[in-house]
Amino acid sequence: MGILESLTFLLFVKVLVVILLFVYLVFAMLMMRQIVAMTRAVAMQDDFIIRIIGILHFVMALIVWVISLFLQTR
Amino acid sequence: MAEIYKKPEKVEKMEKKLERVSVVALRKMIGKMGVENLFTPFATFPTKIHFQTQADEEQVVLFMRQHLIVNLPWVIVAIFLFTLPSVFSFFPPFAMLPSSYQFVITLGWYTFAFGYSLAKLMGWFFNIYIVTDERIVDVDFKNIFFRKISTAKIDEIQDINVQSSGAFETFFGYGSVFIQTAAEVPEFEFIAISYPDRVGKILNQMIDQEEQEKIEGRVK
Repeated sequence: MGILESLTFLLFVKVLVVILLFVYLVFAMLMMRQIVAMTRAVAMQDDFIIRIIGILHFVMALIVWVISLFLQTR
Repeated sequence: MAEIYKKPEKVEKMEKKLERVSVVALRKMIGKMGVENLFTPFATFPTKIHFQTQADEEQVVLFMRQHLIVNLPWVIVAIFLFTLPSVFSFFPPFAMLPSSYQFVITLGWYTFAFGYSLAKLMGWFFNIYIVTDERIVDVDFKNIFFRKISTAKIDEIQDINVQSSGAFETFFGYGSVFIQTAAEVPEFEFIAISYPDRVGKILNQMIDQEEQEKIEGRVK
């Protein structure tokens, strides 16, 4: 019974983490797209730096989400 | 068959290089202020800044963002967010979780803190005010789901109010410029910019110059 309880709890935590991180991934993608749109609207010297930061953020969110998929539930 | 006259390429290039009389006068009047880099809050006659709807001959006279000090509140919050995982282990439900879960949650938290900082930085970075020799441009970037670009011609400006209030604004030398226009957008707000008095003065000088051009028949 104890094992079952702990299994359910971990599964619940995993599902929650995966959903939250997926929502965040969508947010990071929107942010990245918005940066590209804005740097097109106003082009500045070295604005590729801010684009790279946006891409890095998205990649980071993607990595964390992928890792969360492989969390053990027991 | 009649031949269509085409300007030689050299002449066309030369013409493009030659600045208009009004721009030369503005350059003399305003001079060079601020620095030109990616995070500059104030620059006059920047050479490497262009916006989407800019005409070929249009020259950016002023490029402004909010004063750097307005970023202080979110920087403090970001520092707090980045240091928070160090106390996560004292939080019982977190401490109960296996280490792999703790790792993913902590990593997720850092990503969130990074995202928060980036969103706030974007809010400052893309909130741009541009004054060209033809018009004023207000690029509003409130959050990642909202952006608005408004423009008004210089000759549509009706009234300019400069405001600097509060100890912070006085100490760091920034303020706001409110511009009433006859354009579709009735008011332009240049919030928390450096040198608000100077900007107000420049805009007034530009209006005078525009009127002078109208009288002389040099209107574009």
